[in-house]
Amino acid sequence: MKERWTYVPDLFGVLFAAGLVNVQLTVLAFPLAIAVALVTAAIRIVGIPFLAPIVVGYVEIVRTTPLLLHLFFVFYVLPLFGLVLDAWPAAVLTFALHFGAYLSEVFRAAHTSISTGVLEAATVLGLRGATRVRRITIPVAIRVAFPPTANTLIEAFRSTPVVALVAVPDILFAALSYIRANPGTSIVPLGIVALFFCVTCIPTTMLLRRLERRWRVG
Amino acid sequence: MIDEGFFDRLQGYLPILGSAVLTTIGLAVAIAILASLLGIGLAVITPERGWFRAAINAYIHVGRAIPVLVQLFAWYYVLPQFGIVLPATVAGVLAISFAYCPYLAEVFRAGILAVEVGQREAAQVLGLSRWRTWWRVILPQAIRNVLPIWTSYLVSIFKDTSLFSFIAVPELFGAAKAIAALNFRYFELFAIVTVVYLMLGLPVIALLRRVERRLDRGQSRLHRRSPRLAGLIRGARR
Repeated sequence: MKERWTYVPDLFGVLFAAGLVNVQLTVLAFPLAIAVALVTAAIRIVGIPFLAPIVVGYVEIVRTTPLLLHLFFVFYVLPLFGLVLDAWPAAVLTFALHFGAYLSEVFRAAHTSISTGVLEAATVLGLRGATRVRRITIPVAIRVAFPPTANTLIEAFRSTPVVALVAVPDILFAALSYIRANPGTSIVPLGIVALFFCVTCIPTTMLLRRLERRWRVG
Repeated sequence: MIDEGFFDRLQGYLPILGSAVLTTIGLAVAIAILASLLGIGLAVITPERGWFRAAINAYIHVGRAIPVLVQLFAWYYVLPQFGIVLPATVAGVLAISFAYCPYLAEVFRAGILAVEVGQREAAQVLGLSRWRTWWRVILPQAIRNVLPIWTSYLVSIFKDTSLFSFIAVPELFGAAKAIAALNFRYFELFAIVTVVYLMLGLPVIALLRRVERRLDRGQSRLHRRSPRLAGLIRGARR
């Protein structure tokens, strides 16, 4: 029975290599999501006419409907309008737009949470306009927004296996292909996928918690 | 047949999507209840110190690291290997409930820790049994404390019912996908699904926000008069 388990190390290698796709997706899409969120949050904070209500609609719709639906929308509907994307850019775009909406709310809330007292104090001290934004608003807002942004990052990474469902060759896709080819062994590949997420998520979460404690406001 | 308009097609969709909507609602409610009960149960039975706490903490870390979709496929594919064949719906409900259980356990634990120690002491002095202390004094306040976070997890559960489409349970998203695979009208079908999700989700979110605000108001009014007494009255009220 010894040779029964010899495939396990190979499978480990194959699946962890596919797991790089999940990491890459997160690393590529998350900065884009932050960019989307910064622009949309700024539009709402400044209150630009016409654009602000569109942003509100975008944020509310995205936050109330499933990521899977957005993924399939980008994958199947955009081609009807002439925008044909491969699975990979479609996945990156979906993740950027989806988590951009969540982060948009995070950033807006961070801005709102800065008390008027702090801003008034800054004004009294002679800081105004761009200087006040640069020296007071942004540093405080970043610290307030850090914990929820870190949570969203973990959440984004944890959501990456859904791309397997549109045939992006990520770790879950690799595991499911293996299961289809070798029925009756599903516990091993799925166990390896679970292990992959444990060894990536748990240390990252702990690191982010530590940073949070260090940068805590107040 | 090729030239039939959108509304003709809509009539064709309605019976299928209608029953799919009911499936989605049923799944969401079942998972919300089961996951919350599991979460509250875990938060209540786990002491703050000791090896049991350590074990549960490990479980919570691992459970939160593994993606919901992976847990879903695990229940769906792995259990039959051990001879446990569950209907896809049951396997999915269990999978997603257990996927959310660690999150909700942490949420309720935070809510319980935020209830003043005095509340528990007062309940003991008043001679309430352990069961009544939890049920009438601590849990109502704990749940109130965490209502906003709890709500956001319930909305996530509602959205995650879309994952059932991949274990062949015909809920809303899966039904629309199946129709679109036949007639290639992805745009209108996904648009309809989006609208239905919004119609289901937004009123629930609005309602929960209102409940939250009302509870906040009631709480602050009582707190102004006498915070300690208010807590006791609220907790002990039948």
